Amino acid sequence: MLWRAILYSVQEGLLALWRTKLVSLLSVGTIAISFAVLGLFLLVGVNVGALTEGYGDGPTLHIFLVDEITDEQREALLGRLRGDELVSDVAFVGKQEAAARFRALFPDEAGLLEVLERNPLPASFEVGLRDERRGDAGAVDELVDSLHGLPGVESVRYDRQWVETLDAAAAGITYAGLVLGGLLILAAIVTAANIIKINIMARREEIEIMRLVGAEGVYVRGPFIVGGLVQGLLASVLAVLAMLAVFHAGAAYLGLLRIEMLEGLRLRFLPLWMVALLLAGGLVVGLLASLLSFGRAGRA
Amino acid sequence: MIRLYHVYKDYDRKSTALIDINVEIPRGAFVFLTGPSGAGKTTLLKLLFRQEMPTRGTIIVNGRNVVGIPVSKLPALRRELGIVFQDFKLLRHKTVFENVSFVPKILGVPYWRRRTATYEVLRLVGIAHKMREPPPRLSGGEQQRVAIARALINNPVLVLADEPTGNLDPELSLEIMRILERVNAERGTTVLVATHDRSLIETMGKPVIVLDSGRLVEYLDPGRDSAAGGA
Repeated sequence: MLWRAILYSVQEGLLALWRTKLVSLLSVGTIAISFAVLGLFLLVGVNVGALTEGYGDGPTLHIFLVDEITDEQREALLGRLRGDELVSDVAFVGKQEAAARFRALFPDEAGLLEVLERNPLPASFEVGLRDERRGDAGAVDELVDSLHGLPGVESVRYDRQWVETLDAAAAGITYAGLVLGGLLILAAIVTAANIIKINIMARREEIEIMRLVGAEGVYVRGPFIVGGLVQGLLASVLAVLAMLAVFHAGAAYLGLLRIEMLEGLRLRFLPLWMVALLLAGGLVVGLLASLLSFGRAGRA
Repeated sequence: MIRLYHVYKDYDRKSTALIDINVEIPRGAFVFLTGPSGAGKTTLLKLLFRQEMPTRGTIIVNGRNVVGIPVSKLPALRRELGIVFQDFKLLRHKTVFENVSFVPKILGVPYWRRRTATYEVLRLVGIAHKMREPPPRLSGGEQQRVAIARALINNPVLVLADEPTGNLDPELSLEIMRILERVNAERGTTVLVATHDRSLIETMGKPVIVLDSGRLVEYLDPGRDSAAGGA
């Protein structure tokens, strides 16, 4: 009995959508735009977050050395670093290697080094921090401060702030997307509910007849609920497709720009679970819209 | 089949539609409900299928207390009834066949069974030849036949007809009544017809409930009266 009611609801729901295709398209479009806005914010958030993941084991501490550093000073500094409980590994980068890295990273500017009489790039220590201590900002800052002014040390650079800024930006973009997308989705629910309500009012006579001949509620409401679900799903699928198009166009555009900072960064689409969540969200929006509209108009 | 005990219906303090109605209609009867406009005929019918609730009183239809029935059980009550309206209440964008088979369809009857049942009932009311037509292409009499077919398709125990011949000429009105009479005789379906057409009532010679200003003023049964008169 129930499957017959479902079959009836699907048939009548799809038929009603087809009969009112222009109005239904308006509803689908409204929901789709809301989901696309939310999705695009999530997409930007995911990719900004991915920038910081390029660091693999996390940000590295760079200790640049003065050219005049003595072997004893260097060994003492190395010993100091290896003896620190925050430090997981230390690598020495000599002046020659620094120059080689510069040439690899900026091939167009490599000639600069040839023009200069002496290599201006300093030697440095690249210090990796232990995973379990990296979050201890106070201890890391203390280490950085203690290294400043040590004999042979020219400067100390730690990328944590930059990474934190990027992480905060990624989170900010995601939250902004959730708030803006949420508001738009609320507006979409109201719009879709009103459109379904118009449909219900247009079929008021049919609903009245159904009630008078003893149709169960599932037969009366079913087609409208199916209509809402189909509109919501269609809208979220359209939103995901639009996001895919924007994603590919954006990736191609960024590739053309050849921004050095983004070299090596692999742009990524939303993870599968987010896509599934967006599609499920479409269904929920459609369901809410139909329930909301029927709550008011269906009893009329 | 139908029993009303001290039934009142007020729409508001100033407007009383029915006053202390007590009546009993036996199973298998064919009864007319008559009276001038505003007498309460339509209200009484609406109370029977719970489109309206009485202000006071008890209404029993086919053994069910209509007043106490929960909303969730209303469809079950209405499925036992066949309702015919003066304005037909047909779906304009569906064909005659779809209008009639719509009832078993929403009751979950399989297609092959409802197709046969629809064809049979359309033949019974004499409109099978127009089953592919939409209602707007039919005459008033034809549309009322379709409405009657829709009311009958579910084999109801009780048919309630509210001014079913209100828009029809006398000849067509009588034809419609003959259909209902046939259903009453052949299927044993109880029929209650609200009409203000006195000549039609006289022609049919069936029991009549007369309402006036919301009160039941007469319950005439020509069969019983003539039998009593002859005794």
